[in-house]
Amino acid sequence: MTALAGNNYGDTPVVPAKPDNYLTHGKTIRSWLLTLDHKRIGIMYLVVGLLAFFIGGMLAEVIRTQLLVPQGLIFHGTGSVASSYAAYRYYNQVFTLHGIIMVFLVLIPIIPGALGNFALPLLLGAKDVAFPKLNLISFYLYVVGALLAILSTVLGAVDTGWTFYTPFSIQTESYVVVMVLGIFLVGFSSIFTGINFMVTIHKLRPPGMSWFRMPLFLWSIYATSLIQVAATPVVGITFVLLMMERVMGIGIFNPALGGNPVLFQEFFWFYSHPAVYIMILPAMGIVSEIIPVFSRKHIFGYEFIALSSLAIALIGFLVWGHHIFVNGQSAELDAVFSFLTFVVAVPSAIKVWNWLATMYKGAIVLKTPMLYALSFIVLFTIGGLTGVVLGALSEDVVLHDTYFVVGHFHYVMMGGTLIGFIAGLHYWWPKMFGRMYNERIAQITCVVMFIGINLTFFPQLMVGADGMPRRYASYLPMYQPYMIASTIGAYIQLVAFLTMAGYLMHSLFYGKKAPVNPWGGGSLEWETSSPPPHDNFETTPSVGDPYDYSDLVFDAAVNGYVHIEKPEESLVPVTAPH
Amino acid sequence: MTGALQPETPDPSKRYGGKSLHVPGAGTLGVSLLVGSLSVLFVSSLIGYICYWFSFPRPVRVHLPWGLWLSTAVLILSSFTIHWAWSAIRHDLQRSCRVALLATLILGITFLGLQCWNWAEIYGALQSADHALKALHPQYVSPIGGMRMAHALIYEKQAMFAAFFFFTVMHAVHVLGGLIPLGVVNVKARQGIYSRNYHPGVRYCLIYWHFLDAAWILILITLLITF
Repeated sequence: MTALAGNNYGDTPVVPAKPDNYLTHGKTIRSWLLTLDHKRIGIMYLVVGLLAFFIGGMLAEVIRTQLLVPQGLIFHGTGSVASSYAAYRYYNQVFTLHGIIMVFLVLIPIIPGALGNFALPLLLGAKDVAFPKLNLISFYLYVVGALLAILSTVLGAVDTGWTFYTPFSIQTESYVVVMVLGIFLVGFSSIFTGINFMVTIHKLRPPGMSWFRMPLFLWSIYATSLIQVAATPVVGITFVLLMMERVMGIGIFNPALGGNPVLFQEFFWFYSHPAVYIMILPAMGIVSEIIPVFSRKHIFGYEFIALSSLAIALIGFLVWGHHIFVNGQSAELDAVFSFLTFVVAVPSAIKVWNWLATMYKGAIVLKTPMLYALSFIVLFTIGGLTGVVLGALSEDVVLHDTYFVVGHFHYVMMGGTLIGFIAGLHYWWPKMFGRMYNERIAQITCVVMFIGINLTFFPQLMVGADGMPRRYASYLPMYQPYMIASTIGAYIQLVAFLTMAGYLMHSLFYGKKAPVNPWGGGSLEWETSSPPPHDNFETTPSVGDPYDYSDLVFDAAVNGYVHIEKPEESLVPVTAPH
Repeated sequence: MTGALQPETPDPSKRYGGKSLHVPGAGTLGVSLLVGSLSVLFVSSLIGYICYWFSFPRPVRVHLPWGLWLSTAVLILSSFTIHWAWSAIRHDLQRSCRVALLATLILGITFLGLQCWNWAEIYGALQSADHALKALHPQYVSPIGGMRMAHALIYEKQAMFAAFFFFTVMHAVHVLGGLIPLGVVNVKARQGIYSRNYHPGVRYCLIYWHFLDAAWILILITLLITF
């Protein structure tokens, strides 16, 4: 098929034709917008996702600037209580929008949508995902959902917080229906992507790649897809009911009409807790890919990392009650949820230990992806352990709805998911665009980012333990030192992100040409050119152990790793991936 | 829409070659996962409804329209006809497959029509019950005394109506969503595309239709218990 596509053999041209890759395959805008190529769809997800991330990030800077002074720097009244109340409503809208954009438009779709779409078929040695048209439909559902979310903001914003708790979300005079409809569509997109990836992993694995010889990123995407398919319908129905509640007044969640507002919380968290794992699992998969490559050592405990992804996905369905410990749940139920919350921490810890064991006695190369992966381990561990603190019943009663919770989930979401995403972006960037970014600047940026994140969120843990409630537009003067530190951290992050945007954009135009295998990865995406051709592979790649680096050596001539002939004795087939 | 989603190049040597990438078994797995996802949707809303129903006493009983039995019968019948279509095509019986697919399509549309009638019925019943309530409680419209009680009754009725409406409409939307591909499959069957060895569309419709049937029976049982 490829031989027919790039027919340079029969009549040899005088000037060798420029090698065709997926970026140059079609030049019209139409060839991008209506593409069925998973790589292009991935890039489009990346662009839209980063745009959403920019908006969400700017809103975060607004929040942090507001909290520089106790009375609020941006939104504050003119002295009277009424004027303060009116001004603080804008603050509510800002943090609501920040939460909604970050959770539903960035954290949930960006890794599966952008990196998953780009890398998943390449890792499988396949030409595309199982359903390319469905993939494009998923993308457009996501875009339409995002546009509706923006529309609701233009119309007059939402001030419910990203959780849309009833009965406030029924009573508030803001555009909840439009926003919720947008998220509903994004949910559809999520389900379709999940189905697509699950079928792809089931049916498109090349001969020789058994379940336990798959790269670990595929395992994590598989577990993620499982959650997407099984949990997203629940939030879909919840949001349909919320819309009906607002439009028709049916009274399922409205206590004034005999409804039960706690039912909304149960439904919401039944999705939204597993959704946390939709966000974190792909990031864990990326880290599992990066750590062995940059330690030049086989991954330790492959089966444990693979199966712990599934364990997280399954146990993740049983812990939603820990979000609502203080809403009047029975003590017995609280205890069960608390116990299960401790249990779900175990598979995550298994992963962390295996990463550490992989690095142990490895030849660690501190390139940018590895630095981000190491940041992930540190930040995610802080986030995860504070989660265990919150899972303990008596502590949760004290810390509920304080900044401790905010600090905890920002460590997990920002320090986990987002740093994992950035690690993956740096890891696959040469493959995506065929260019290398400036390594030195990228490394410095990573360090600055690490400092910024800790400076932002660690004071939030402390101020939360001191009792400052979340979502407040003003606060007592005693909390100000923490708040100033946190705001400075947020500005440092802003600088880091802008630098990153700068050097990545620069690399697109002026970066050095990327070799086929810049990092020495053993999985199949490093067998094809950078960037890959439209059909991904010239010839079907042969499947080996994705974490075997013994036959890869650095070749200064191509500035990348190349395969060498293995010594005779090592050609004995390896049956287990150890 | 599907015309616009063609691959960029018309070159048949390119992938998809004018058709979509055909992976054996991928479609069946995809449809099964979709049905699994939709089952979560139905089951979770039924659980939610039961929780809601248990948390408050229900003083008002609403009689379900008898037309529900008719629509149930029609839907179950359509499940049989789609199965007939599937087993027919597996024995290469083109003509009987086409007849069975057409029968399923007609039965599906009939089901939706009957459901519309049921909605009108229950809405009318609630209206007349409201009138009766107003006659029984003169203070129903008055802001003094008895108001809370009368209001509670109205809310009960509204809630029950909403639950009935919600489940039946949600199911009907999925029937409607199934009728469109079923129409496409009907057309393709008439064109003679399907054969003993190649009939993915028929199989997908079969899986989906059995799901619709099972979901409806679950809904009906729940409504019968709670109303």
